[in-house]
Amino acid sequence: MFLSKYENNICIITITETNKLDAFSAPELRSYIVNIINNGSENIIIDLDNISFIDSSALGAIVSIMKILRNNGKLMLTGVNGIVLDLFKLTRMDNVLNLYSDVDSAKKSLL
Amino acid sequence: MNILLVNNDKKIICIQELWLLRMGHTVKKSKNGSEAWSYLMKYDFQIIICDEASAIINGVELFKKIRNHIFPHYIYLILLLSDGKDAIQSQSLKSGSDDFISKPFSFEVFHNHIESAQRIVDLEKKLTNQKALVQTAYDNLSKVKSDIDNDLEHAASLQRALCFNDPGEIPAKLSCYYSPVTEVGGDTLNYIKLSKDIFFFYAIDVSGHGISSAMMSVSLGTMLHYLLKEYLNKNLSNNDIKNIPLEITNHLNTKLNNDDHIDHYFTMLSGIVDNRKNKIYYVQAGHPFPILYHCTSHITEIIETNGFPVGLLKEASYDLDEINFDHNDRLLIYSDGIFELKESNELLDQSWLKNIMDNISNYSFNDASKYINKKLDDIIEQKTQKDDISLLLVELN
Repeated sequence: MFLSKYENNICIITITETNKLDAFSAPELRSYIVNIINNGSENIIIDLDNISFIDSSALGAIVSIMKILRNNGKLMLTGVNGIVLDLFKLTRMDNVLNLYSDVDSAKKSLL
Repeated sequence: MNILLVNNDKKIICIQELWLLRMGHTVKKSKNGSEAWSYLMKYDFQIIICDEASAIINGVELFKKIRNHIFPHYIYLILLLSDGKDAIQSQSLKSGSDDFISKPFSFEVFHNHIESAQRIVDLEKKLTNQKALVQTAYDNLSKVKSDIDNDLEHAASLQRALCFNDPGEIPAKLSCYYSPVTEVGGDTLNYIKLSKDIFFFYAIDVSGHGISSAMMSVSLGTMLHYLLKEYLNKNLSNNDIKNIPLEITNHLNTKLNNDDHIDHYFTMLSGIVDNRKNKIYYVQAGHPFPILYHCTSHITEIIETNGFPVGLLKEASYDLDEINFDHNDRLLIYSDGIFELKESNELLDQSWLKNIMDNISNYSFNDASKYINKKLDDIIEQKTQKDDISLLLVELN
């Protein structure tokens, strides 16, 4: 369900096989990324380009990862639009999370 | 093993009996199929060794009869055949025979066939025992599941009762729709009368769903009642009363973020309706946009205010917003579970709710409430519900 690749010490995660993050997939995403963090990655991009829906459990998982990386890394989200962006705006998370239009923009933000 | 020999040749049957006794088995002899059947009805056998040529009922017919009858366990059937009777071999296979021994045969051949039968009988016995164990485990689990289901059913009734427990007459009409995705849910909503002109209301959606979310939503309801009581005991001025939603939201956010044991957070829309000033003072904490129908202008407005959910970020700050209302204006508050419902294969959205509010504008409050409830019931019946759904319709006085 999740694929990761590394470019210049940045871990880029894409989500496959589903276009939604919910109570079923969110805990899996969280433990997948926590494992990546525990293996030394500090800068993580989650590409949500093909995700058209996330629920409260997924938002909780994303914020939880953001908190883990807060002091010694950076969580970046790319491809956020539609209902997902609406949810981030409704919950003001668009002010807190690092959102970028695409992976390249996210990568450049670290330069 | 208990073995039944069926053979009308006295000499052969005695030799076979001797061999089987030497191998440690218990043996009963029968001279024909008919007698064998009567023994089968009285005694328990694991193996039957039958000569194909037994009189009255021959071996093939006996085996057919055995296979058509239900015995408490599998019976292994061996047919003794005259050498070269391929046709009978094929026929007896169809009738349910497990093995053949071609006559004449030595003790060694006979012994090997019996040992082979013993393995099958032992395996069948083992499988039967395992099946019994699985059945016992299944029965125990079914009992536990039934107990849990009963508990959940009671919990669901209790949660519904707590969710909207009519705590006194207030200067507004209120109607609630509540549909958890499992028996109990993480949504809750309620109102509390503060004075004859003022009441407090809240709608909460705890993240996730199921038992832990439900427990949190019930305890949040209790906490809110307790906090309100504390504020009211302070004899607050009217100006201070309007800040109650803000104070409560800040308090709960701090409490949840300081408790490492709580994984959940929640969205909440809470407010004070002040009927003397025709104002609602509210805090929007990540709950979906409320919808207000203005009775005088016949305009339905989606109130697009936002805010941090409660318990997600320690540093979150909240705003106290205001809504001015007129007599008979209607306010709709709902959880985002509605947006996972589909009508005619299309996901519901705020426009759908706005249209509903327009459609029911001429209805009496009771009819409007019934219309919404039926509409949601009909959609939920199509089994498209994936999240808890709660909805509060308020007609302001």
